[in-house]
Amino acid sequence: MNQGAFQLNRRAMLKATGISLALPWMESLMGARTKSPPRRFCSIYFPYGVSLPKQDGEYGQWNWFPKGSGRDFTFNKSLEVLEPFRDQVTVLGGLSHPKVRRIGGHDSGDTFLTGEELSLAATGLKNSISLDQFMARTHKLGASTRFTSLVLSSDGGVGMPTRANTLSYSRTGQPIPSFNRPAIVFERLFGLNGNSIEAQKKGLTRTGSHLDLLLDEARTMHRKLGKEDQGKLDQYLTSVREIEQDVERSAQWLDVPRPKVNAEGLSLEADNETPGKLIHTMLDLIALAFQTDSTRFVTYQLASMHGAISIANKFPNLLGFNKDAHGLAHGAGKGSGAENRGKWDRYQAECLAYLIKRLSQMEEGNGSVLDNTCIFYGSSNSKTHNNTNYPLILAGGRNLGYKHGQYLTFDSKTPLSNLFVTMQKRMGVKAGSFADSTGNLDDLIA
Amino acid sequence: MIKLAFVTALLLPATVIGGDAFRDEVRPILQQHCFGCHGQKKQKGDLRLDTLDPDMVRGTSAERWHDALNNINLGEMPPEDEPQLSAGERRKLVGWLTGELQKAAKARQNTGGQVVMRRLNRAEYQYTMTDLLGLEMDYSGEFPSDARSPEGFKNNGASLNMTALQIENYLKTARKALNFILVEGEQAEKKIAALSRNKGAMKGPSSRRFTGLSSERLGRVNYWHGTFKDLPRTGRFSIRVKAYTNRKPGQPDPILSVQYGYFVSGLNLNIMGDAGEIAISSTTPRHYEISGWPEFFPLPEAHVPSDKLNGIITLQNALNDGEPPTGAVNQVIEEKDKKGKIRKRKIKVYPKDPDFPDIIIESVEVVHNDYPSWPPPPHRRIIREGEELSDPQALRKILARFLRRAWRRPANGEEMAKWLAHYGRMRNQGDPPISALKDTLSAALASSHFLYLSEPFKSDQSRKLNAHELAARLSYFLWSSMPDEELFHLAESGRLLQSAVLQGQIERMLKDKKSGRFTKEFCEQWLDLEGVDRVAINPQFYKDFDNKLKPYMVEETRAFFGEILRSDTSALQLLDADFTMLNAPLAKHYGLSGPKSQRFERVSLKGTNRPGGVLGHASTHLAGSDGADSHPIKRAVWIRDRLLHDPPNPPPPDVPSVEKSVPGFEKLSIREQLAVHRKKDACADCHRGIDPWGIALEEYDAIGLFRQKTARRKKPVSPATVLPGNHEISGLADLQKYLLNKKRERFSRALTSKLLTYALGRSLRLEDEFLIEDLSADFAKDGYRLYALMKNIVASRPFVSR
Repeated sequence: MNQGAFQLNRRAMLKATGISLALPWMESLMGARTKSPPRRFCSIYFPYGVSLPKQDGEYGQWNWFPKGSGRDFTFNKSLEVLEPFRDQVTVLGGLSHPKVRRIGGHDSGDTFLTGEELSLAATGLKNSISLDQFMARTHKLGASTRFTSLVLSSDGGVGMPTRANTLSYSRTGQPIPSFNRPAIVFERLFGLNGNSIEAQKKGLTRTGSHLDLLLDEARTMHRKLGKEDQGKLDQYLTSVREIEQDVERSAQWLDVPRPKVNAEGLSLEADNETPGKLIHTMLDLIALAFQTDSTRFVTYQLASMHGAISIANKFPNLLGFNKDAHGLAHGAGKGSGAENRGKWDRYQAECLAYLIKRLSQMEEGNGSVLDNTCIFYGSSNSKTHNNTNYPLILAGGRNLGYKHGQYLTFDSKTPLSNLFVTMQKRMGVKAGSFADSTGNLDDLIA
Repeated sequence: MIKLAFVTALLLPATVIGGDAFRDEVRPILQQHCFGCHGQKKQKGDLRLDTLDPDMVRGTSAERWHDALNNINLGEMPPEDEPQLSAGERRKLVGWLTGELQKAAKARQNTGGQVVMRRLNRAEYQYTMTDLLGLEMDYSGEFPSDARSPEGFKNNGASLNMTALQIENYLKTARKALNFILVEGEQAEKKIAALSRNKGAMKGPSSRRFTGLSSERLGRVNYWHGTFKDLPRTGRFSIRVKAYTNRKPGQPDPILSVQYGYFVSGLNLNIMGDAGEIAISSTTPRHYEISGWPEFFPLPEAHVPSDKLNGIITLQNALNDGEPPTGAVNQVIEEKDKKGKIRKRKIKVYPKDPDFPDIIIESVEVVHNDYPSWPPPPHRRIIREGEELSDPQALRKILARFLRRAWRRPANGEEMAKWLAHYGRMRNQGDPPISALKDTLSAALASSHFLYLSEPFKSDQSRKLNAHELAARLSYFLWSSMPDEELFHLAESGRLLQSAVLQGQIERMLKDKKSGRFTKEFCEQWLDLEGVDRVAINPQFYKDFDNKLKPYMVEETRAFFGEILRSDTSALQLLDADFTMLNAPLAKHYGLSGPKSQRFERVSLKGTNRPGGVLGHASTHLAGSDGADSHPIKRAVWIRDRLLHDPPNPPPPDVPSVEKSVPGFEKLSIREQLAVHRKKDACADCHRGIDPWGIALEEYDAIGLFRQKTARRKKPVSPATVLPGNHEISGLADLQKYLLNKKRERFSRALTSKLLTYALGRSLRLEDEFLIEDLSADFAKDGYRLYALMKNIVASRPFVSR
């Protein structure tokens, strides 16, 4: 039987049944356990860079970067939508990952949060750990929530190297699959589990025993394999061990009921044919995940960097921009193309503004969820094909000590990883370096 | 030309080849003809030859030399405007390259050096679980999509990774399925609920999907709907519909589409899922049946008082003959209200269409707890008649039987002991026997033995596959799933290793309907049919375009490939054919006639303007567009990569933009813009070899229809162009002729390479090149029949060894 219609109807069903209000973090059970409000990190990525016509030229209004500098700057048309949040954002120009400048222009999406030189020659197309996972897993900052991190994208899964559908990479540089269906994300975060706690406990014990056996079997198999195959099976072993840890954690979380979240108004049925709804629902889910303290680390890739591979390439078309994302990017250098492209930049900035607004409306402690959340928004291209001068925005995180309301520019000697060092420090990571960092940007922004 | 090169190579005396031969004989030729563009000063195409290691056996340069050889053989190098190689130079150069490459290939055959173990991908997992358990269900819905290999395949061991999320899903999914399958105790009492038609109009959120009125006669419009009490929460159920059609001779069978769900009265809330479609062929009343589990459908999660909760079934006639429903006509009717007063009411009436066959519904029933036998067949597959879990002998048999099928080989003694012990452990934790078995079996379906196709060997070297491994390779190649009983028997007796037996099996397997999975998977991945989903058609330029056509376009290409495979006729028809596969809506879109329903059938293109072959398919045109206009580069890259296995290099980092240096560039048509590209030195080298392939298809718009003007700028289109090597062509028909005449061998090699890559589940290596040479030569001799090629692939050394 075909069950295609199930997801479509889920929203209406939830609407009719799950009527209950969201609990803000302070009132949740976890709130009682922690003293100070949680610190959170969210990275949002878009491909192909932005529109960059000459600031003083005919289409200068559509240059993504503001006019002026420091505290004395004016947003151009694309970022104008951030004006209401001027004091909550910092625009950064000139930064990029030095090693990534050596690889293909369309190949840099995978490296946004890793800084790795992703080429056959340098690394055999193997990536390294991403900033979110470095903080959440390596430094265990994600250990005190139900989910260590939440990895989202428009395409889902992992894609392929250089055209990955995820921003997040494990310690060994393995891509972490992303979710792209709001209904599944909702179910995972807030889904009702009909079983009694007793039954769930038993289930976890059972899963624990299964995992022991699976590990044992795989280890036996491992001994019979050649080196290449062993490498492949190592992934399996690592994954099973990871679930073991998750099972332990789930057991700790069993007595804590899942946050009750009202699905009213969430378009959980949204898919890649309705991109406006899809993106905004994902942003809603990010906000809810933070508000309920279900996780403190989120990455969200709006599209991957290849017109021929990303399903999200058609989003601008569906949203009435008359060209696909790749077409807009390639047309940006041609006259009015800068404006067309700029309008799409503006749409994307509106999405960021939407998230900022949602988070700022969620009260937490003496401020809002936004004050405890560092949003890192941007692309790994300035213009299409060009891996320098990333368009970047830092937003939120007032309680983390950010000095916002600035437009800062850097020369190409400053690796983007220096910013990562500052960000990880503000989150509470003790390590003073990340990837190819040569220092930090503490003085300027925090 | 390729053939010639290899023949030449064989005629060369072996003594000429060697280190000194390179220095004395070969390097001077390279110096004269190649280093100018591929040397110290310039490295066109990112290739530098003067420093490339001539030792291909020990060095890592073999792949690059191989590219160079290909370009020389294809006549693409030296470029036509440069001095050409003399016959003697060519012989020396090609001879040296070929000889060294052969040595390198030979040396590598024994070093392995690539992952062979591969995880089942999403589709393979779905098919395998279905075949193994005998239960149709969505097993892979929540799985993340699989990574593609550089060649675009989703069954490549090196590209397929494993993450915790997946293992979590494997355990959960297997347990869920086994809950449906393994039953305990007596069968719950069968209950039959008869539904009567609700004569009022459909209300609630799902109503939009229904047009017309409630009726027992279902035509282009109208629907049947009814509710029932006691919505089942679990247990197999059937929907039984007694119906017939008034179909006249020559008319197609109407198609009954069934939805099932729940209805909360008071809230007017109707939530439904698709239960399935059945063709109604009988002109006299008979029973039609669809079965499933309530859990496959939306169920109310919160408590709804039982007097408010109803099951709901709706029926529609889903026959699609490509014609839109006739418009509604307003009519005023008189009816009595509750008080008996006569009131006038306006209703919409849809005029009857005599050309459209109706379905007439006589009765509808829901049967709860409907099992064909008890315990049901999938249960009996695991626990046979007379076997009791309390009997250790029986338990051992049950487990051994299951593991053998799940793991595609018998479990050994040590493994049996471990898994029996696991069952014991589950029992000790207080699980009842059937639950302990479900647990044990679901763990087996998350084990590495099930999830990976592995051919263990304590070394990365090559060895012959054993019979079980071969059976698995074969079935995953041709069925994307596990071996069936016949293959298992042949593997156990070892007879599968006899080549006559093996060849017989290929024949049998390709005739089995499961080979449709090969068609679907291979065709979708090879031709990247997902591309159709990645493009949104712009309604500004295509007002009447119905997005429902997109899956039909994909199906055209898939069915076309399937038809060529099934009829065992020449694969060159992929380049040009006098037929295609269409259903009524797509035929109408093309302006053709023939098919009368959504079923795909063979349609002759003789005497029509519609081009044949995949280059004439709307799927190709749409995927190679931006939703408004054609995208010649996308189309060109697709042709070179997918049809010729010669993908152009990706754009280099920081390509300079030509746009700014040419005034008025943005006002040019795409064709003119490309022409500018080709004139610029920085772009010309690559674009000269790319653009023309796509320009040839310019007369086909984003939705696959013939056009004379572009959609956006209304500029006239011209498909005339010059292919590399100075071949002038004037459009698609010429391109097809050119491909068939001049690139036939290239295409044959490309298809051979793609098919071999898919069959082996790994990227091809240098040492496979000579096999491709042989396979593709035989492919030509066999009239380009895919059966013959597939048989040769299965018989080849890389397929029968690891």
